Amino acid sequence: MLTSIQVELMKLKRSKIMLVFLAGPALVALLFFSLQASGAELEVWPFYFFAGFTAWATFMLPLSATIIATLMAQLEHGPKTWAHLLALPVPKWRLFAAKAVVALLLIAGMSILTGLLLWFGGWLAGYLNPEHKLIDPAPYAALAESMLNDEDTAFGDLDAALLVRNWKWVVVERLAYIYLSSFLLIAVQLWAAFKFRNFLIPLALGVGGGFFAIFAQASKYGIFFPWLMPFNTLGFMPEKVNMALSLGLVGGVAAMLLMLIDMSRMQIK
Amino acid sequence: MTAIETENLHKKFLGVKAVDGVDLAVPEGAIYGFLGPNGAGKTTTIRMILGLLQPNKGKIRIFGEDLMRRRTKALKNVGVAFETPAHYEHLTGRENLDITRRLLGLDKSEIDRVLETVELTHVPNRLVRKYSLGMRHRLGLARALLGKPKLLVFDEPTNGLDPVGIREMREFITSLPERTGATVFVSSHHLAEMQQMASHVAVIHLGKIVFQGGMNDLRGLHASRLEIACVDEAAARAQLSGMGKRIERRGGKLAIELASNDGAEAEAAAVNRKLVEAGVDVHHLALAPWTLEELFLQVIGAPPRADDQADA
Repeated sequence: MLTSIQVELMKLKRSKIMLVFLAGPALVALLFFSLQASGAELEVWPFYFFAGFTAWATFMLPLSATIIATLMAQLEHGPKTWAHLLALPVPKWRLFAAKAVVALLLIAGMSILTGLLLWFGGWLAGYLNPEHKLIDPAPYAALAESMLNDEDTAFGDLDAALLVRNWKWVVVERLAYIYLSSFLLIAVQLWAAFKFRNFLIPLALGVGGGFFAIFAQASKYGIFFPWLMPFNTLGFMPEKVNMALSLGLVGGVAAMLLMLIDMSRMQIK
Repeated sequence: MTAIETENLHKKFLGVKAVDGVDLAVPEGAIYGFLGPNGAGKTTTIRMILGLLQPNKGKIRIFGEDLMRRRTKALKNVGVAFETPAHYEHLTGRENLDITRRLLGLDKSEIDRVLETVELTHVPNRLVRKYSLGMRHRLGLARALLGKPKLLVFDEPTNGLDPVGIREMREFITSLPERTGATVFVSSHHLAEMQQMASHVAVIHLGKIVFQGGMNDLRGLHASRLEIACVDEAAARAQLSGMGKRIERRGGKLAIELASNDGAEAEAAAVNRKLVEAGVDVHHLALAPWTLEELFLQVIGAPPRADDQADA
C-alpha cells in the first residue's frame, strides 16, 4: 500500500494539483490579512481564526476537494492510463485507495497550511500597522469562563466559548473537526471523479454542492448535507458539532469503502 | 502449456454481442496474431484477457491461472502495450517507467535495461509530452517489458506509426520470442505485417473466431494460384477452361487455382506445356500464393474486389 501511495505522490510532480494545494489556503489567508490590514474589528486572535475557518469550511475546502479529486482522476482519465494501471498485477482497490489516501493527505496539508497562513497574515497585519494588531483574549478569559459556567448563559454563546484561556486548543481542535467532517464530501467527490471521464461532472457536483449548502443551512435536514458538515463543526451546540463530525467522518470512511468496491469493478472499454 | 486459453468467452454491450463464444489457445513461445476488421471484437477480447472487462460468460486462463479467481497471480507474467500509448505527459520517460517499476516491485536497474532494449537511452529525462509518437510507442514497449514478462500483449502496436516506425516495430516484435523467450499476442488489422510476424493466427469476425491455427494452416486453406499472361488471351482462356480451371482476373493477368500446394510447381509446368503446345505464346507465368489479406477476406466471407472477379 505504501508503494502505491508513493507512486501517487510521484504523479503530483509538475501537476497543477500542487498549485491548488498552495492557492486554496493562501487565498483564505490573503483575504483575512487584507481585512485585518484594512482595519476589520476582529481584535482578538480566536475571532480572527474562526472567521478564516468559516471561509475555509464553507467555500475553499469544498472547492479544493472538488478540484483535487477531479485533477487526481484526470491524471488517469486524460492520458487514458487507467487501462495500463488496472492491467497490472496489483489489487485494483489498492490503486484507488492510494489515490484516496493522497487526496486526504493533501486536504490535511491544506488545512494545516490554512491555519499557519492565517496566523502569519494576522501577525503581518499587526506588524505592518500596530493599530491592527490582534490580541490574546486573556483579559476576557475569566469573564468568558464564568459565563460558560453560569447555567443561565447559553452554551451556544460563540464569543464566550472562544475567549477562554485555552483558545489555541479550541482553534486547533476546530480546524481538525473541519477536516475530519469533510471526509464524506471528499469521498463523494473522488467517487464522481473516478467514475466519470468527463471532468465537468465532478466539478458540477462540487460547485453545485457548495451552492446548495447555502440553502441547506436553513433546512433541518441540512445536517445531512455533506458540503455543510465542515461548516457545522464550527458551531458551539455540541449535538450539531458531534453530528457533523460523526456523519462526516464515519460516513466518509463508509463511502470510501463503497467507492473502493465499486471502482474495483470498473470496466475499461 | 498454453500462454492464454479462453473458453466460450462472451461479452455484450447494451444487449449487442461484441464477443460471442471465443475459444483461444495461444501456445507458449508463439507470436500469435489476432486478426480482425475494426469492430470485430479484438480489443474487447484483449481487455477481458487483461481483466479490464468482465466477461458475461466464459473462462480465461493465463499460464493455467484462472483470471477471474486469481487476477493478480494470472497477470504476474504479463506485459501490455495498448493501441494508443498512454503515459503521464507531465513526467519524464524514466519517471513513467519508475511508476510501473515500483508497482511491480522491481529493481531500479530494470529501467535502464528496458530503455536500452527499446533504444530510448538518449531521452529518458525528457518530458513525455515532448516525445514523438514513435518514441511514445517505444516507451510503451519498454513499460511492457519491465520485469521480463513471459507473455506480451500488444493491441494494434503499429497504429499511427510511419512506414519506418512500422518496420522497426515489426522487427522488434518478431525478435522478442528469441530475445526474451516471451510469448507474443498481437492484435492488428494490418495483414501484411502479420504475415511477416506471426507464427500462429486467429481471425475474429463479428465477435466469433472464424479461423485459428498456424500461419501455414491458414495458407493451406487454399492452394496457390498460377498467374498467366499471354499474347492471345482468348486462346489461353479456351485452353484453361478446357482443363476445367476456374479463371479469375488478377492484376491484369489471368489466374487459376491449382489443385494443391504440394504439387504446385509440377502443375504449373504442365499448364505451361499445354498452352505452348496449343500455340499460345506465354510471356508471364508465376506461382502466386494467397496473401494473408485474400485468405482473411475468404475466411470472414467478404466479397472479392472487382478486379478479382471470377469470369469463367
